[in-house]
Amino acid sequence: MAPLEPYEKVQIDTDFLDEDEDVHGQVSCEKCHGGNPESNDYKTAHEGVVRDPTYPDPSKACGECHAMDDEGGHPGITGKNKTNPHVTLAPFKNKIYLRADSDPCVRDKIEDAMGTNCSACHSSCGQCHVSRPESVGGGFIDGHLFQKTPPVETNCTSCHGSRVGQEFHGENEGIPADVHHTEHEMACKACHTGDEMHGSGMSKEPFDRYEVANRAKCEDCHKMAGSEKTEADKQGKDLVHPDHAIHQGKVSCQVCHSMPYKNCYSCHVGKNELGAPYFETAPSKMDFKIGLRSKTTEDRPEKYVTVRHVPVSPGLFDFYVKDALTNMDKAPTWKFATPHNIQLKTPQNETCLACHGNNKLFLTKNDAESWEVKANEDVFVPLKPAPSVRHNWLEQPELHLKKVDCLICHNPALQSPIKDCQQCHAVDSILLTTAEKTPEYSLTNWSFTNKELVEKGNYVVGSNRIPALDVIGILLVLLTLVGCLIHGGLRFISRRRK
Amino acid sequence: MRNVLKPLVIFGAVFIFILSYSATVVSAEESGCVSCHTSMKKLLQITRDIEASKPKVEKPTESKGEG
Repeated sequence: MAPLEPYEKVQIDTDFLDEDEDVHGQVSCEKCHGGNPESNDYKTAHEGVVRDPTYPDPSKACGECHAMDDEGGHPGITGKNKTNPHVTLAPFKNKIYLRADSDPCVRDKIEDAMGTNCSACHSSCGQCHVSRPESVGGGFIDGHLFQKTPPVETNCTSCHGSRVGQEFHGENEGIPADVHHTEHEMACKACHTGDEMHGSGMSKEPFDRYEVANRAKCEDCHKMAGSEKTEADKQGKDLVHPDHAIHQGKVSCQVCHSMPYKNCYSCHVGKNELGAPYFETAPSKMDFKIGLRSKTTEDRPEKYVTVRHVPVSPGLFDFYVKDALTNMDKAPTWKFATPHNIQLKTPQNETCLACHGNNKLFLTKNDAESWEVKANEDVFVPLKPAPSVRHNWLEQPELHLKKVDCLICHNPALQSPIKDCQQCHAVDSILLTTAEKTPEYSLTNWSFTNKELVEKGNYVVGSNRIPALDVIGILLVLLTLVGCLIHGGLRFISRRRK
Repeated sequence: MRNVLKPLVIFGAVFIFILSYSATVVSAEESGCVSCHTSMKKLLQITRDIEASKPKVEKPTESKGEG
């Protein structure tokens, strides 16, 4: 995002004054911003000017027109603002205070540190709909014309850039952009509606940002095939692949469909000699980890989810106060995440075994520093034995795993997987997709029965046979028996003669 | 008839008087702020003056990593 020149930040487009272009231009400047419009001197004219009249309380500037509750009983602008995480930063602060020492003096210093270093990253009505956020230097988006939908580049990714923005736009080396961006040119608002952005419908502040009402859900567009759909739902493709029926409700969509994403480590904040705030983080790492979600909800029942390392560290506030975060165990440092680099095909969904048994995809103690092991205990995935070990009741488990499609036995339509060998190793094998007529047993029939399986490169004992070889085998056995009988008979006769 | 018209005329006169003197909404266009904030030339000069008068605060060079 190109920075604005100082004059550009405050230059009003004359279109703003046109009632047809923007009704807000019909309100006098000083009504919202204060100051003295009578003065010709910029210094006295700006005395008492409020740069952003919508922060922290927009009820005066916006509330006169936008305060009414809607028909659904959702609070208007004023009510929404109190529970809007973009304004309050409550979910972020909650997590910090969960880890903070209980000493009130320490908490005061943390409050001070966050006020200096962290809390500038908030937004407001004005900093989304009129100007760029203050934290990125401010400046009008478009000459003070109000934007119903904030632009992605100047507003959404100016704050959510280094993770979400880069993932979505494919700016991480070797990782493609999100398919919703490349194939459908979807912008943030396609999934993240105004209701979600404003935190509407919340009776109290959400503790976690994923508790926000009306948040984006993949299922809003992507329904299971055959499920009831609204007109809006028809935008997304149906989930026809049988894997969805198996994993639905157990595994989050991102586990199968997201690519490696950014993880941040070891943030420290402070102030330099001039009092300017600064931060330091360790280099970020691109990684992909599946962890457990200990607190599943009706809304999010999936136990296996993608988790991202957050930059918090025990020494985060050391500059302000030592040992501020003495309760690091209270919140995991590998946090539930919804990476924004969705692909239809990913390395982990290429085959079942690309994920099942691929231990490096799962978060374990080995991925954590010693100080964060306890905090993440509920997130670590207990590793299961390798698939070949779990299938060792089969003859030649490795061969079965290599040659047989998992879904043959782990059929989503069945309550439990098939364990009866006869289901495959028989003339009417379930591996067949075509009903072949059983060929005649004759010395002239030299072709395989159930050729379909052989053509796929699989020879299935009991299902594949060459009838001519069967007949020859039986004949050989019979001839051997006859030979034995003749030989025995002749020996018996010759002995009696002697 | 006169008795009926008289209060109506008085009411009308008072209504017009109040209307003409009541505070009307002042649009941004009529505000003194607009003459400067729509003029690039004026803004360039003023912002240059402001930048020059402000103590030079350098962005902290201590920041490292991604925010």
